[in-house]
Amino acid sequence: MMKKLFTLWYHFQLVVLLATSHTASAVPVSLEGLKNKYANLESLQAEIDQTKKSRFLFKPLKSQVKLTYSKKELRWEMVSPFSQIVLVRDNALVTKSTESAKEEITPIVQGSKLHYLSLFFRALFSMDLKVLEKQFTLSFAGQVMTALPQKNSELSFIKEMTFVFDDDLRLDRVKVSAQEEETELQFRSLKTFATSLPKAMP
Amino acid sequence: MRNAIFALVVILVAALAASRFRIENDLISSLKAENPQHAALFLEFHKESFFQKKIFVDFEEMSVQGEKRARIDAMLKDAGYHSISLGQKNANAEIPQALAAFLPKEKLEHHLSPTGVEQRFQEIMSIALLPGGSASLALVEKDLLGLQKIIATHFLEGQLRTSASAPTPQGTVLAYERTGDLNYEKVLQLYQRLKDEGPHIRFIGGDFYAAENYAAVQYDIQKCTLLSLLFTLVIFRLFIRSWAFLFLALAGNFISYLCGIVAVELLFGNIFAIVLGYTSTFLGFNVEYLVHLCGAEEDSKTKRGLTSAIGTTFIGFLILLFAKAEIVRQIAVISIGGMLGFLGFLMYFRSSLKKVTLLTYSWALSPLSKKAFFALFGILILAAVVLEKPPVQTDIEGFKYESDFLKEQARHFQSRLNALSLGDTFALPAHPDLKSQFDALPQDLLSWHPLNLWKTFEQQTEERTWLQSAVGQAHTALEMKLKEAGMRLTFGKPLSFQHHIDAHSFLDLAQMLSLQKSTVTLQNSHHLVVSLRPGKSFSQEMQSKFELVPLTPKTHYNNLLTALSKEMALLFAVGLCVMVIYLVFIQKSVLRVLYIATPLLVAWVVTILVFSALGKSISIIHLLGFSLVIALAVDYSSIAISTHYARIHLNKIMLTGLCTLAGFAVLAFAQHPVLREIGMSVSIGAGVSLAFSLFVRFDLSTRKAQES
Repeated sequence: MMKKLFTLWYHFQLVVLLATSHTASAVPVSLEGLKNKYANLESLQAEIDQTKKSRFLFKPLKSQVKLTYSKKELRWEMVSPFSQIVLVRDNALVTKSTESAKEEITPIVQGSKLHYLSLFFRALFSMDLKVLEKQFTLSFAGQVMTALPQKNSELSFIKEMTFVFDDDLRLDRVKVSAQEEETELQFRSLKTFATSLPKAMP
Repeated sequence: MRNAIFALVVILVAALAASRFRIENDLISSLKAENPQHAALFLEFHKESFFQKKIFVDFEEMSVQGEKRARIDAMLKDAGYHSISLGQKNANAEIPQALAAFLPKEKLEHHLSPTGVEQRFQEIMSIALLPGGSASLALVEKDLLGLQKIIATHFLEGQLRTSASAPTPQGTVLAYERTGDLNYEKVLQLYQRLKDEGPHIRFIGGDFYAAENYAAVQYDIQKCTLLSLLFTLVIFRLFIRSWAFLFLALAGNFISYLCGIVAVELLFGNIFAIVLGYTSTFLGFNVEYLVHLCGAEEDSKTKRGLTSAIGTTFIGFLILLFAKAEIVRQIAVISIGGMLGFLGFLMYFRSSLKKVTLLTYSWALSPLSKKAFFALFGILILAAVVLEKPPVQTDIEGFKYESDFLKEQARHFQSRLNALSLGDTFALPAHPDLKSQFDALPQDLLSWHPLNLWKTFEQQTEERTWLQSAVGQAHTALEMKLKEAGMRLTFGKPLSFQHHIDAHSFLDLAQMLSLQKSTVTLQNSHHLVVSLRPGKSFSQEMQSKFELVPLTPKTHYNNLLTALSKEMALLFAVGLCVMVIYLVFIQKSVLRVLYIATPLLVAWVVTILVFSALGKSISIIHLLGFSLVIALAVDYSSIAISTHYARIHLNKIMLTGLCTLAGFAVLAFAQHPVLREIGMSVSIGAGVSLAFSLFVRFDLSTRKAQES
């Protein structure tokens, strides 16, 4: 029952999102446009509001996240309601609390679920269109890009993704419908860099 | 015209029959241990071996990040390889959590403590709160405490610590497994693409060796066929100016080749690649028969010479039919089939052959008186007996072509995955009390074994009270924490450790975490498998005391091939005896037979001297080569002696001998060691016996000789 409600809610959101995006759009989003925009992306910083619904959660979880991406690692720092840092690297997932420097390292075994999750996660936030194109069928309408997994995709645990961009082709909202969960990410701020992150930045 | 149409029809029919063949590429899969139990053990152990169909890639110094690694993953995927966990046979397979009872207490104590529970909580939450992270929470429901990871790590660490000096591999060594059949072309493309990635990517795998060998043989066959064809045409041009002869040579050889493989197909149903390669040797014999039938006056001397030559060659191959190995029997059948096919073909064209004329050359012969012959023969026999013979021994490595690049990769991985390059492996019949049997083995020689972790029933009883309570408490605490964090996970009951696990069941459970099998079961007989540390060995005494059966492919095949070499040497000895009786019957003179055997004896002594000087042992490959030398040397000398060194016949011998050398001398420059060694041994033997037959003239002016 709950699942059905979530799905209904998700599709309602999608309709609203499509309607609003059309009114706001000036230049429609396209694959070429995104490729040009993100071709030189070396790093990015973002502040995100995440809303997550899952059969594993008693109630929808709202959280605030600071995201930092570089070629070396992706840093996912949850500010509230918990304080927690996750670093997604090539071969390991590192968790640490903001209070201590101690790191918990979980090796990422090739072919495991964690491996594909990290692959997806990095592709999603770095706007790695090569990976996205390979694993998903991309379609465009106004300011929205929809990604549906390809037949033999390794990321088939993702059912559907919707990306909404602003006029400058910067990510505004992302909806991820996956096995067991639906997540909405609202970008409060997003800065992209064509170089590595300056040292002073986290 | 009628003849040409006949030849064409024969070729087409034979080609159609030959096109159905199944070619077996594995050179040595025909070799099976004489003891059926040992043969079955070897096959069962290597079935689904961890190293089979695998490629290992080392992303050195973690320099390969995201995009580059994804590209390499894609390359491997295109070639039919998918990534798998190094220590675990299936990355997503469930590891029996009951094995936690066999981990050292200190390993689990921290993990089940409040700190450990907190860490596990952080780990679960960090994954769960990532977008898409819920997908992995189903696994958490099955293994809340993360015991599977701890068990897998502990088992893998144990195996990788086999050698004290071995560095533990870093997480950059990845394993990939082939899903479909081996496609040489795809593997060669992948090999080149990985090579092009530069020195920061290291890779190894049995498939690369197989593909490299395939490429080397292809290259050798093309290069050597072209060169030998060129040389043969030049030689023909020096002696014969007839197009009809050339047509007969080409068509006849083709028919001979097809007859040979049809015979093998009819008797065996498949054909080994090396046997197919052996057909190139037909050229030598076929040209010989063809040349000797050219313009032949059918006198008794020529007939005697030809009968001697053909008969001894036939006997040589007939004897090989008694070999135990299928591969040797196939060689015998293909040779006999080829020989009969060619002779049958020639019979049809006899009249055309008589019209072919040969250009002749003359040269001086060194006469050898009867006395000098006996002295020489005595010296040769003495040398053959007294000279220290190279050991008859075959190393499987000699069957393998390995480029410098792969050698370098192998060296790198030996240091990187030292523990994976296991020492020799043996099987021994399992006793009911497996642990006591295992403990009785010399532990200082053995590498890691899962039984090292097994605990007796008393130890299990001692541990399980603590474990049951610790697991229960940790489970409850973690469940509470997750609930408080808003997580709604469904768990089964905490794991129960109520039952004892005996050593046999333990090995069955641990099987999926072992890099190689620790037991082998054949119908109702169970066998324990143990491996030696690298560089260690069991004495012969130990091997018989513990009833050890070697399972390491290198040792297994070396033993088989060495036994086969010895059997072949024995068959040659028997063959030679039969040839001598046959020659005495045909030549009607013992002295003539001694004359005929002399070039062969010279060839043998020279071969021993060359091999000793080079420090080489005599392998089965050399013995196969020497089977040809026996036939060729006897052919040269029997025709020379039977025809009383008539100039026309000496020219024919020179023509055929040079053609044989053109075929084999080029093989000595092949990349693949099997072709190189066979080329070298035949070139030495055939070259020496040819020179001896052409330039040394025995004094045949005895009364008996004149009479004959």
